[in-house]
Amino acid sequence: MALPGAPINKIVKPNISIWIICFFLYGLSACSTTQHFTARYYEENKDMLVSIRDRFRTSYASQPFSIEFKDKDFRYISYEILNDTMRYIYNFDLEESNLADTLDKYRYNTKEIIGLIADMRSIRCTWISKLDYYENREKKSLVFVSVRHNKLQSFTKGEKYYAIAFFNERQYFDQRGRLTDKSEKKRMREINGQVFRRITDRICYAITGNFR
Amino acid sequence: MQTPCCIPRVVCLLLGFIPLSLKTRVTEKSIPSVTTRQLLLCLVVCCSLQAHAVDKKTFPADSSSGTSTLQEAILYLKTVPFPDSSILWPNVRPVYLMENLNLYVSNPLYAFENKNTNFCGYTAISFITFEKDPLGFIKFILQLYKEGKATMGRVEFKPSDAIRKMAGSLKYKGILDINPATQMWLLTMADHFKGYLNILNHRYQPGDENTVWASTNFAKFNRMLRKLFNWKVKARGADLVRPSIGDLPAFLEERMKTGTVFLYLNNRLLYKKRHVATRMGIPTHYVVLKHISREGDKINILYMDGGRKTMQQISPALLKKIVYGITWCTNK
Repeated sequence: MALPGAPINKIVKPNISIWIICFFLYGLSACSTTQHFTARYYEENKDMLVSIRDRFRTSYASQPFSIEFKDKDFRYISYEILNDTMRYIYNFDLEESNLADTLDKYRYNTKEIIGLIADMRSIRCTWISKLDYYENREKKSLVFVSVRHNKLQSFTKGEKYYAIAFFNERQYFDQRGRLTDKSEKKRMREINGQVFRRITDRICYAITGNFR
Repeated sequence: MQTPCCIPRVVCLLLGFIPLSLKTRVTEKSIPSVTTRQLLLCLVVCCSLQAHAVDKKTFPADSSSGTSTLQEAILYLKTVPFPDSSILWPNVRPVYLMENLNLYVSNPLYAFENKNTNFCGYTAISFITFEKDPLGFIKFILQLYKEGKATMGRVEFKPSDAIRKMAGSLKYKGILDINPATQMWLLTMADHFKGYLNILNHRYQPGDENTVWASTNFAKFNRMLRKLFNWKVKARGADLVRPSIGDLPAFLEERMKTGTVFLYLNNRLLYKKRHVATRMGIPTHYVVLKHISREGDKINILYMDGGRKTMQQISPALLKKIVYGITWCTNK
């Protein structure tokens, strides 16, 4: 309650310096971690990411599949076996042995797939798949990888994932490094509803709320 | 893979903070004191219960949907004259339209596949529409292309200018990008059928394929089936309340013996897209159930879901948790 004769403005009006500090802290929490992370993450893990991509492409060519880590502890996986008309989704506990039996049954290269899963786990890669897209009615594909990282977990923004798209061909970007449509250069090109940014001519990333 | 969301996030957010007591009845006396948020909740619950009430009724259709074979459709496509380009559909080229019609007969699952849209309800119906009457569906699409309007079941579709202009130019939707006939069909369906979820966005604008404009609530889904097919359509469940069924797998197995079964699912539990726990259980996806069986303490379910048939092994507890609506259709 204001004292008699005291200037009301001083009591009611919030101190502007508090607002500046709050704004500054919010800016720090909103930008710094993510920007720092995206700039460095690919370079630091380039060898492993490229190796995972190449081995996935090779194994996929013999028999299509996708791999998902279902939990935060990277213990349970969902393995999707794909053919022309069917998709079989199996769930496995990596500490049990039935994954290898299933891979054998479907004639995958079991040793190769288990090695791939172990490497995905080592860099906290939570999802890998091949995505088809169309350019001028021509079917093309990319390898889509998502990484779950502690630096991307934020109290204010919730959980985020570092998604990487590996294209087979050179892509087009605007001046801000955003992936654009090949035919309409001003139109942002979306993958899973997200705008991606340039890492190299053929590799892009996005920070996204969903890993697939 | 498809992961459309049929109940928009905005509705969930509005409802998220309301204590949900579905047993509470809104009486005339209580109405003047309720807040806007509570009124919105009442609206949603009423519409949900409307779908729930369908259980005890059957809904005969006035006109009968024809039935045909895939062979008849293939023969028809070989003999039908190539259509001229249509000013009604400026972005649909006849050559691509015919390519798409041929894809329907060679691989219907692929032909209806789409990504990053809220068309899952329409897609589930499309599989069955084509499966039951492939010739009728192809004739329907050609009539729609030539005349800008066409009739199916008890419905006369007459898509708006915005829809006709957009069909053929959707992008980043997977194989839907190159299937102009499927674009015409899905956009036309979404333009015609409206439910309470579409109140806030009735008119199509580019980009609305994955917004509230394309959403489908359970009552609307059942209404579409009743109007499009000459079937007895029965349903259990609602938009926010799971059906109370003791032995759900046995119930589904029994319904599958006599007709087609659609499931309205909480897809966020079936296909996780993030690792946070889903606090709010809401259904987000429609699929056509093709087979269900028990294997030990697990349930095998086979369903048609955008582009492929999917076989998945889940626990009975998860099945109970994800199923919000069951619609089964039998011939009259």
